[in-house]
Amino acid sequence: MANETKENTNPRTIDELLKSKLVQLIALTTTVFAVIAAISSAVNTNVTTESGVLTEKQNNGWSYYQAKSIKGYLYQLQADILALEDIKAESKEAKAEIAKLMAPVKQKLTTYESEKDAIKADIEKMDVRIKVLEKRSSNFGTGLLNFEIAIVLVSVGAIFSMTALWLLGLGLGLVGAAYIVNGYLAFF
Amino acid sequence: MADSTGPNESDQKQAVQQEQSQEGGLSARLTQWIAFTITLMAIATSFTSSASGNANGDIVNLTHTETNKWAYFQAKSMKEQIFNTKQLLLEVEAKNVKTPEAKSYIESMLSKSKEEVTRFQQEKKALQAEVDKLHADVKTSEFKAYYFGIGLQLLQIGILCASVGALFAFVWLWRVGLVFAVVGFLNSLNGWYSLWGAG
Repeated sequence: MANETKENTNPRTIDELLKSKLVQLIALTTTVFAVIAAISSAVNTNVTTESGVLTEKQNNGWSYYQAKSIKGYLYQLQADILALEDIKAESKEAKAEIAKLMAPVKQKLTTYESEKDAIKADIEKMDVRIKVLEKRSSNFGTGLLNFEIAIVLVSVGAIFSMTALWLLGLGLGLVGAAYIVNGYLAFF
Repeated sequence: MADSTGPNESDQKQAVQQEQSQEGGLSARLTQWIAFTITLMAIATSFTSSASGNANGDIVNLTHTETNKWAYFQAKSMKEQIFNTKQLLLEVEAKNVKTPEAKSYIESMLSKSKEEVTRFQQEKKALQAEVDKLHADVKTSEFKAYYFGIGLQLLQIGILCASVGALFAFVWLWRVGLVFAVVGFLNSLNGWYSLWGAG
């Protein structure tokens, strides 16, 4: 009698047990997907911000480069005028005076050229980093899109106990995970 | 008595059960439909949201590039002006110098300056074309972002209406949600394929 009562109060069949396990699994999948999506979204925001800041710095660097370039041309103009005056000068004193004026101008021209090269090298480094960040951001974006759709499919699969929909969501989630891993490590 | 009321009660019970199962069947089917439409709306929302983010990102990036190119254009313009000034100075000097050495120096400088001015003018023209193309791309991205934005809002309202309709069993609200979602989806499609309103 005692056994019978126990069986009656706990009438769980194997099917019900399996179903409850499946629902638990689906819930776990949704949670894992949601957590990965949330973390990746935060990382993607950081990547996008870094890319934006670097692009700003790069623009700033180019402006600085152009300012140096313009100043370089102005010094070249001074050098050319002084060279002409040197040709025109008849006295040694005048030539010496011109040479005195020419020295700092030539010095400035050399300095500007080397500074321009350094600025250009910095900008090119930033460009490489920006390209990597853009690639990472694109992978994160595609991964997050896959995850969003996967979460919807898995949730609807859970509500209506449709294993096929859950499996489809799981597959999409795995594709999303591959993109997100690539977003972190930039494999392809 | 017991026999006469017994069948009546059981008939009534059966009828109620049938009605309930019918209602339950209909309701379940409708709920499935609502869930299906919400899934579709959610998927469309995800795609539209992603596309809207890309379009907005493009606007910012392209505007940055455009600004950068304009600054480059202005730098070239300033350098061209420097060479114009140099040319003017050299032309004035050419009238005053007497030695052949100075004259030949001025001539070589003048010819170099003219070459530089021509080079800068050509480069400016090419840059202007690039900037114009970038400007057109910014306009296209703005168009896309506008329609994706409207589509996104309408799809979100659609999901909300359909969800509330499902929760409180308001079929009319689900239908309103469907209308919002369809209009939203059309706007989203316009963002992708420029079906109308493209300049």
